Amino acid sequence: MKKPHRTASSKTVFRILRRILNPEEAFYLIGDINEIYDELTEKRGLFFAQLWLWWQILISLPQFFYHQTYWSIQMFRNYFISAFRNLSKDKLHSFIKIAGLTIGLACVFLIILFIRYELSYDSFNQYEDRIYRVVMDSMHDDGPFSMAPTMLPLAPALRRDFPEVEYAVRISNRTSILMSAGEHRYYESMHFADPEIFSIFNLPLKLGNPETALSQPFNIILTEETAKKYFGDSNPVGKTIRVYNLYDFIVTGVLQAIPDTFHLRINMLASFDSLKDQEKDRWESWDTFSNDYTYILLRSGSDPREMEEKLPALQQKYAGPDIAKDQKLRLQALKDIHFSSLNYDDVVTYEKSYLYAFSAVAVFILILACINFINLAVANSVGRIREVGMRKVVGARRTQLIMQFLTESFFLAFIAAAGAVGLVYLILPQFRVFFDRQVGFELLSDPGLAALLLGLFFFTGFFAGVYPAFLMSAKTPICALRKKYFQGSRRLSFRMFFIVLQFSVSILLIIATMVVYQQIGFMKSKDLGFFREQIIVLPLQNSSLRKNPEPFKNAVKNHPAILGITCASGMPGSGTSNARTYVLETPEGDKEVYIQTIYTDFDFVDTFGLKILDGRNFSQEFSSDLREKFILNETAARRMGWDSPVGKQIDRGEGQKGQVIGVVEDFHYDSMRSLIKPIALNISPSQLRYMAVRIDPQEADQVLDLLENTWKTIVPQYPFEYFFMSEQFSRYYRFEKKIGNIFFLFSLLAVLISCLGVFGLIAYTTEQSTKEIGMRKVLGASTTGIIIFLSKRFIRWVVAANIIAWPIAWFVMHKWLEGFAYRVSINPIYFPVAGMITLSITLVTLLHKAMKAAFINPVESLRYE
Amino acid sequence: MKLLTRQEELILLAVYHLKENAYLVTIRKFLKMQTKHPWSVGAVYVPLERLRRKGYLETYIGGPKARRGRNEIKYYKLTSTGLELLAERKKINDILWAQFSEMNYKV
Repeated sequence: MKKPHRTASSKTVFRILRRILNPEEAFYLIGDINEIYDELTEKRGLFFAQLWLWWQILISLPQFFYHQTYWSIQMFRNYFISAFRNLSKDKLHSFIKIAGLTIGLACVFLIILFIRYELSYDSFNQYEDRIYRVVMDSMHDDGPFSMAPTMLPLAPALRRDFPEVEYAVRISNRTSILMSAGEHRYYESMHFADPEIFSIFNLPLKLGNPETALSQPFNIILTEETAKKYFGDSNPVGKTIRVYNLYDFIVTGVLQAIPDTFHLRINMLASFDSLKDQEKDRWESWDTFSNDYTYILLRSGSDPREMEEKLPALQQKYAGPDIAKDQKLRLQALKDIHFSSLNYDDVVTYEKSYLYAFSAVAVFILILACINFINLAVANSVGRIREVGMRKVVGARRTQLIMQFLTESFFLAFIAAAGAVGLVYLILPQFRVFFDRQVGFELLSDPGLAALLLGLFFFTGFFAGVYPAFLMSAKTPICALRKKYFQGSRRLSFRMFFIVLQFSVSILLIIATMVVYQQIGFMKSKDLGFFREQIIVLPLQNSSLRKNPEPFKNAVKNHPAILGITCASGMPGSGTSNARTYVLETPEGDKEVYIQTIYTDFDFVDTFGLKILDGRNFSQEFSSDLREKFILNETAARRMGWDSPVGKQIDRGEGQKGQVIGVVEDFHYDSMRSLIKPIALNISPSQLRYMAVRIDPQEADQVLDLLENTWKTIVPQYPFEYFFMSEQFSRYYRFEKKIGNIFFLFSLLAVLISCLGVFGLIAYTTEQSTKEIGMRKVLGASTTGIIIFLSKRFIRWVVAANIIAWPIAWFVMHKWLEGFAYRVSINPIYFPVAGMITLSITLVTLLHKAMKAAFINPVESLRYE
Repeated sequence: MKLLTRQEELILLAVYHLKENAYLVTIRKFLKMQTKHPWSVGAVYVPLERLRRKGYLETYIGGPKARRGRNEIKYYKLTSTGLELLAERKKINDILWAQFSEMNYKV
């Protein structure tokens, strides 16, 4: 017998053949090929024979792949059919499984949409990466005070001195401006901008020429919406719009619709030079600023950090060293503006930390839904163990079984994903209203989003399916056919971990919800230090009342339902006020103190019911009370550093002297988020912007009628507007309320999903211990005893989940509360309450199944199997 | 009658001629020799299996020969239907081929 001519390469070929040939035929065929190969080697040489061998492999490849695909498709068809049959066999179970996943996915989709929307702010701008806003850090004793507005001459200076600045623009915002065109009169917010705005931002004009539309003073461009409001469907270009019955603006263009992801909310754009008359004092001043913002477009390739370093020199040059020392200019990238929280800003912002929180919640919910799916699938597999055994007996390989289970979970994930997309379409309108964001959901035109959702679908299908697949396919056929499930407790401990995790998340969310509501309740009900409930505020606009409100006050103040009436430059809850520097002469030298000043009249303290702690109120009897006298709040008095401030002299700038005559108790002028600021009251009749009327709440309607009628007789040319101060204050907490509602929803969802999980697991445990229950009953166990036996494990898990969740919840909520200057301490009762809620819901879920198992006749359960 | 392809017919005839020694390698060698055509392994194996499925051939396993490693041989053998089919084919072929001569036809 000759030795076979085996080489490494021929061995490889035979190895390949053994793998790809039909296992029943492989032996004979390999033998045959071996024989031919040997013969060829003898006749034509080893090289040729090996060539021939490889050639055999090569020519069989197309057929091989065809077969592979064909049979995989056949198998997939089979998997689908069996998946479908399994689904329809146990409709309740399938429904719970799909519903849990659908809700979870819909939630995640919505959160993704929201986050993507928030991140897409300003990204419609072509030069997004090169646009910066110049902002300012004002250096104080207690750290830098960052603010968005900058001085007016900055933009021209940047244009002049910085070659890397391609364009610079000033944009200014003025609110509550009375505008009229013919019959139409409204209060509007108006933006002013240099013509460069069109070179920096992508704001295409529908009508008009961007080069010239804003080049002259008193040119104005309207948005389509505004144009329609004033001029209907007619072409507005060339028409006139009156501002404050003083200035005539000529409409020179119409803006195309601005994407709502622009950080500025623009109704109309007027040329910046229109402000020149009004702002004469500030036009060249490097020291003062109001609502004016500077944006620049850097030339491509220039480094913003490098430019930032040159800004102090610019200030040195124009503003002088004194100012440059106190004010530090810096650049803020366009994409950061939406997430910034600068003072005196006028943009749509959102806190990035909430986006992170939402992402975390999305991941949580998805994991919860998947875990739930896994638990239910494993529970369900109890009934399917025979199927697996049968498949194994007729020759299914493990990989095939894994594929089968994965196909099934993908199938379910697909249904759930489709359902979730439908659900999102359904919820989206409410969602938009709720978040006040025009979140879009265009799957077809947004490939990134579609890919994201598809990826999510694959992740869910795989993550949810892989564990049951491996678990189920690992059984030996004997094991499977005898319905022996899982020996040992390792499997169970893995799933126990899931259940504990689910409950921990639920408990965490429940506690979070309660704490958020507690804080909101606290902020709403806390004594603000003044009458808030019965106060009506009338904005004075630009009417003559601003200079002299006395006629109005005198006309209404004798009405019995009006308990007080006052005018001031700012109102609590409206946030407007002027910060001023006061100079104190101290033995160590002059000391500067920033204090918010409210300019008011003689009735402010009485109308708001502020408590005077020291000194006296303003009084008509002292003529010097006008302008020269000040009342401080406690914080301001403390800031000044005096033990008894009454009677002390202060310098209110430009050499004007003032004197403190009283101190009032601190009151909440702003939201509870911020600490009470130092406030000074000063009488200055020319700066009044609001009128506050304290009324008897029983007669609110009557008083409102009176106020409106009086308004119409005294200043008929201005529309009558009013709001209740309490409403204004609750608007501060709108956002917190939303967060509270979201947490409430999520905790509801988490509890629901966890319950589904428990439901699946109890079904599994009772099924598994059917025989044990029968035995126990035969041996004399009571029904209660069996219920306790079945549920105690779950109760243990829920207790464990509580122990895990409590410290985390405490930590997280503590961090959240730190964002509020005035906050509640977390009520410890919430922790056991959350625990009780989860425990009782678990018990309710358990009881049905446990009782069914406990009441069953032992004969039945012993006969089982 | 059952139609057979020319290949199938040739393969059946090869099995017939090879008697007890009909398996993939010998059948292929036989065909190559008789037809002077390079038959690939697949060109023999696939019709063989097809004929077996149709019931014209049956198989039996024989002990391994040298040069085959330890692999056994799958021998092919005509079934009675297979034999009947061949007989039928011969009859038809004889009729159709009778009086065939290149001279009788003008090209």
